[in-house]
Amino acid sequence: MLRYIIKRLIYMVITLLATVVFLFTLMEFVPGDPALVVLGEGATEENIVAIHKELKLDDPYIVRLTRYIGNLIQGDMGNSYKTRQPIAPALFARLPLTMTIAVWGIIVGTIIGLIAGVVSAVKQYSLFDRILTFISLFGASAPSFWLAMLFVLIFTLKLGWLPATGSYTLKHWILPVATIGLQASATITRMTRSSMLEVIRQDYVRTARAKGQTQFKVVISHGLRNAFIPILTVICTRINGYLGGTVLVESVFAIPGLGNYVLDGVKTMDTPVVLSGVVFICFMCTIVTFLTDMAYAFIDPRIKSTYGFGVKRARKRAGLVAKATEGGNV
Amino acid sequence: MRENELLSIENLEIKYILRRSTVNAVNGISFTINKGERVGLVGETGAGKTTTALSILKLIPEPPGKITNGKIMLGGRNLMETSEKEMRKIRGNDVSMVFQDPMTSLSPVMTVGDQIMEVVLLHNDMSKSEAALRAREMLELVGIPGERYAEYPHQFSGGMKQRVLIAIALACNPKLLIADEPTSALDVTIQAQVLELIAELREKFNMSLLLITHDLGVVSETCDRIMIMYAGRIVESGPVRTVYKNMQHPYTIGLFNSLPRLDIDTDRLEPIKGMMPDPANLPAGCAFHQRCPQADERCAQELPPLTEMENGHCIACFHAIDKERSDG
Amino acid sequence: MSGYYKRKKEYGNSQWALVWMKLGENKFAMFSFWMIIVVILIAVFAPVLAPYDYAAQDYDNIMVTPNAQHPFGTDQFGRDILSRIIYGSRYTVIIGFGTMTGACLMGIPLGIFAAYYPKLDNPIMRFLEIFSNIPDMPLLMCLVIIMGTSLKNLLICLILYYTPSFARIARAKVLTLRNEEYVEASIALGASDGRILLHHILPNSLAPIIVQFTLSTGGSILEAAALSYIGLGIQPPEPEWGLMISQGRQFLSTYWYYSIIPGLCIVFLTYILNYVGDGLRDALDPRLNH
Repeated sequence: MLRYIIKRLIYMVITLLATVVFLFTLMEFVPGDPALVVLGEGATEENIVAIHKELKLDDPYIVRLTRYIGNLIQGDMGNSYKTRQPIAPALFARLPLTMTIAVWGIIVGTIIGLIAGVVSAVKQYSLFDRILTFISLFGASAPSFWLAMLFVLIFTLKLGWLPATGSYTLKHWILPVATIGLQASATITRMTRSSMLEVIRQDYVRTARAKGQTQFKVVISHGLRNAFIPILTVICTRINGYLGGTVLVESVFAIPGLGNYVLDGVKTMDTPVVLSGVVFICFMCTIVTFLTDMAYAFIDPRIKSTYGFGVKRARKRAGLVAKATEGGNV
Repeated sequence: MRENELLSIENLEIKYILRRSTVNAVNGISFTINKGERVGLVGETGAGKTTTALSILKLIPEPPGKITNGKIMLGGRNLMETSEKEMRKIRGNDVSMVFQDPMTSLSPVMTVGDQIMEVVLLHNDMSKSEAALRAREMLELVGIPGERYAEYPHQFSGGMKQRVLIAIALACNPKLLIADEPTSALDVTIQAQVLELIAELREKFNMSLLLITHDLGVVSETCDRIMIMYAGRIVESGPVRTVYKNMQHPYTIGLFNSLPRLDIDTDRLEPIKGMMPDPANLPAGCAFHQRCPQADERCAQELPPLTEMENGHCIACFHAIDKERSDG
Repeated sequence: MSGYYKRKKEYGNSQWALVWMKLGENKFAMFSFWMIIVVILIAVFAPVLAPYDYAAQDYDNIMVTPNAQHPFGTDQFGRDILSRIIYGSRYTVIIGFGTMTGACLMGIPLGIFAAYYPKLDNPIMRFLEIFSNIPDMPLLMCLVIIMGTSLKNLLICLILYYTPSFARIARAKVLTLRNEEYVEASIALGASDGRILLHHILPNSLAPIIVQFTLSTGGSILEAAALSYIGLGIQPPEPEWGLMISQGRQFLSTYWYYSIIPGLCIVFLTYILNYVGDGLRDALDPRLNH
């Protein structure tokens, strides 16, 4: 287990580092003089020179890159050109809002998606399946911001049930979470359905039924458990997709989250804000990917048997424990 | 019902109803299996062997499959009237099945031991650790070291997986074991071992065996009785010796002629001409008449009934029946 | 099985004839396919079809609710929304299909080279991996801040974003196909790399690429609309659908159709593209042939 975690951690750090280098290099191509962004139009020559010196803009690329990475490791993400304020605290202040919606949206979406997908696959071609297929494809085809607006139109403006913007009570979370949840459940339903359809035709499902297992347990412990790897991948992509696209839903509900912060940076050509904001989003996505990798370890027998988890419990049950401790991994 | 009878199937008809066509997989077959008897069901791919076997466990995928007619009696119980809940108690416990492809018949995400334990737990009132111990015993019984309990199917070879499947099938001492081409996906060298294992364990547990195969040699070695199936019907059946010595149906003769033999020196094998008819579009009369060298008009119009000749030897062919009668 | 043989008899052995036939069995997929053609035609003939000029402002008819003259009403400058939607289809079609064509042209050769020349494999694939590790919107935002906002830049951004997925498919397909017996046979016969690519690898990797093409077209339309919506894509006064949703936002309470109708257009087009993509995937899946 530890070996696997360390392996994934090293991989995660390398990917992240490569991403930072890539993004930093990309930002080198931003046109215009950053000093003008800091000072605004009509800055004097001396001021520009002073800013260049202050921000060490004239250092060679490699020096600035290593300095940026060094600071990043210490938690310093640099300062905004526009406000001259440090970026890291601003990002962390906005994180809870973004994460609350993301986490709840994904939880709701996963629960709905799994149930709907499994039922849809088991009752393939039924009316329920057809309706669900329509809704899930609709959910996957609709732009999230438009869906959010549709919810606002119906539930806030027409029915007056739920607030769209404003201070954060439980009621205020419902619409953003519903938007994210619906979109997540749409893709998760689709993947669960197709993955389950493939699995329930497999011979081992027939074997399980020939053992006299109940339909429910056949579907869940033989079907879903085998179908779960691609579903997990989709859930991971969905979370990352939302973290990336958080700006869209945030803009409809006027939530001052991560996405809006980065977007403001893009609009004002505030390169450090964009760079660090995007690096931060990538960092969170990498963590999600890492957690997903950890989750694979609990379902994928190849990882399990290579690194030996889950094996111990089974051996214990079969009275094989003494040998297990002697021989280590099987 | 006769005292000795374990399974009796009467006039069983199974169809797969598809959007475009209806496939007549099994078309009115009847047979019985006695306690402790070993029966071989032989036929080419698509003859309806597996469908017949699955119907005994009521595991025909439904839809599109449907048992449209007939009766399946198991130990005096009519399975056609048995509820799904009752069927679950029969599956794996009274009747169990070993499937054709061991590579895909085990769940890849469970350890092999747990897969055996599952069936033990389902049919016995045992704790998990008792069931696990029983599963370990079963592994050892089929010749796999008990330490491999906690390994996953991908760590096993095809022959080993088939052994695991046999262990699953036998874990609850079933009365009837159905083995659906248990060796056709395995290497030739492994085939004999697996068959031997099945034969040995059948003896030990005193079960009945329904062995489905397309290998006539296997049947002669392991079975008491043989049934030859063609296009969803039994065309010839009887005790293995009788049938092998005195085969009558042209299809059976064709099957034998298409096998290489060591005792007779032939230059070339004689395959049966043509293809099996499309089961969605069966011809009238005898299903074999289009390929039969002896066929005449009657064969194309009337369906020859399976008729008992002597010593339980049954034939479904007008010509063979006529010949036998005039001889006898 | 019988159906398969019957179809084979009717349509010959051509794989594509069979795929077309199987797609035709799915009525809605066929309808969707033709609707995609219709949308493309609308985009091509927009000037003929649109009742008004998309930019014509009419200050006597501001925020008119839908009526006979203006079936979808007018916007805050008195421009006819229906005409703007018809013209807007041009952007959507150009972005959707342009992105995918560009991404194919870049990604497929990259993937083939990576698979064919092991020395290039690691550098190319690692680089693409970094690229695709960054979520879509942030990456597009970074590219927009560098290149600025215009249709051309939007296209470049989206092409760059979609290139890795095509490269990956092409690479995977080449790697598996190279070990197929018939490819090994032609290598043994002394066929050149180019010939093998053209005659064996390319025709046989088309299926997953076409599926990816169709499904990603919908995706790129959504991305483009999203970028326009947050102000980083097509700029006013152009009639892009995502931009129209954004412009109608402030009028949502009273003139809801202003935002909702362009959104419905996006949903409709993406839905039928996804539906055709799903249908193609099923039709091209050899496991489902029997």
